[in-house]
Amino acid sequence: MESKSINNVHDTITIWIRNYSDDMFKWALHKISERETAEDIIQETFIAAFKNYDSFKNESSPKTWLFRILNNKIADHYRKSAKEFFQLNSAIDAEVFKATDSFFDGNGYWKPNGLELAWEDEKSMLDNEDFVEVMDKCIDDLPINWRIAVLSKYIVEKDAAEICQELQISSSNYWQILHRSKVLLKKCIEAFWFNKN
Amino acid sequence: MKFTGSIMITCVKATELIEKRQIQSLTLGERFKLRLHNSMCVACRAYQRQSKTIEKAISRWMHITNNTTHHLSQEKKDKIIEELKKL
Repeated sequence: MESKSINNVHDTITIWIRNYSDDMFKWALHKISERETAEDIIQETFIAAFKNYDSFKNESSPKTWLFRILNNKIADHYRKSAKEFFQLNSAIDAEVFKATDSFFDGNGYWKPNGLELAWEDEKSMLDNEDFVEVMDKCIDDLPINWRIAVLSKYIVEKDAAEICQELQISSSNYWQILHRSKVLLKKCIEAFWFNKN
Repeated sequence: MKFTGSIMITCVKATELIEKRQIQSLTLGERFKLRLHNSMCVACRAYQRQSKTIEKAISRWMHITNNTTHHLSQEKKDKIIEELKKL
């Protein structure tokens, strides 16, 4: 790039940082929940945007383009930490498996809790703005590698077979983790949503 | 039809199969066991619906931007601008 055009790119991206970085940061923080990592990812995103500026076509809005890069960076982050966490967390897994066992009675049957009916009104729960906070908490409470397994589907947007391959786990291990995560989420939602409403 | 083990399964197993079914197809034996269990178990039939609700909840949660007051600090913004100038 010539120095004149490089200055233009700098100016453009500086404006983008002013206009979009807060929204991008909120989006990233929501998915990553570690402030520092989210900040780093925003920086990486703008560096990537700078390096690939030539491929930015005015067909899409800058914001759309930046969010596309950001989502790729978030997915990369998940892939990287997934590999890390899935290799060393089997002890924690065993513990959480035991914890979820306690939601069932000694014979492996549900313990009734009287909340079965409350669940039927899905709409009033999902449409309630306060429910987001409960989800924040419940997703945050999942063991990190379980959280990765549950969220991968939405972040990486790949099918289960590909996710297993990336996480280097067997498909039976994957759906067991999803199952236990679901049970944990159910319990958490019951405790922090239904019992408070 | 040949079954391994009992045809009666627990709620733990039944809910496992409910989740598994969303990812891969169940074997004939698993399908039969789940149907039999569900025909007798109100809690697992309810779980089946709850599981879908939770799935929707996660999906929606993933697609919103948090309404928090968190912002990228001005220092961090300036730092990014500085970093870019080095390139």
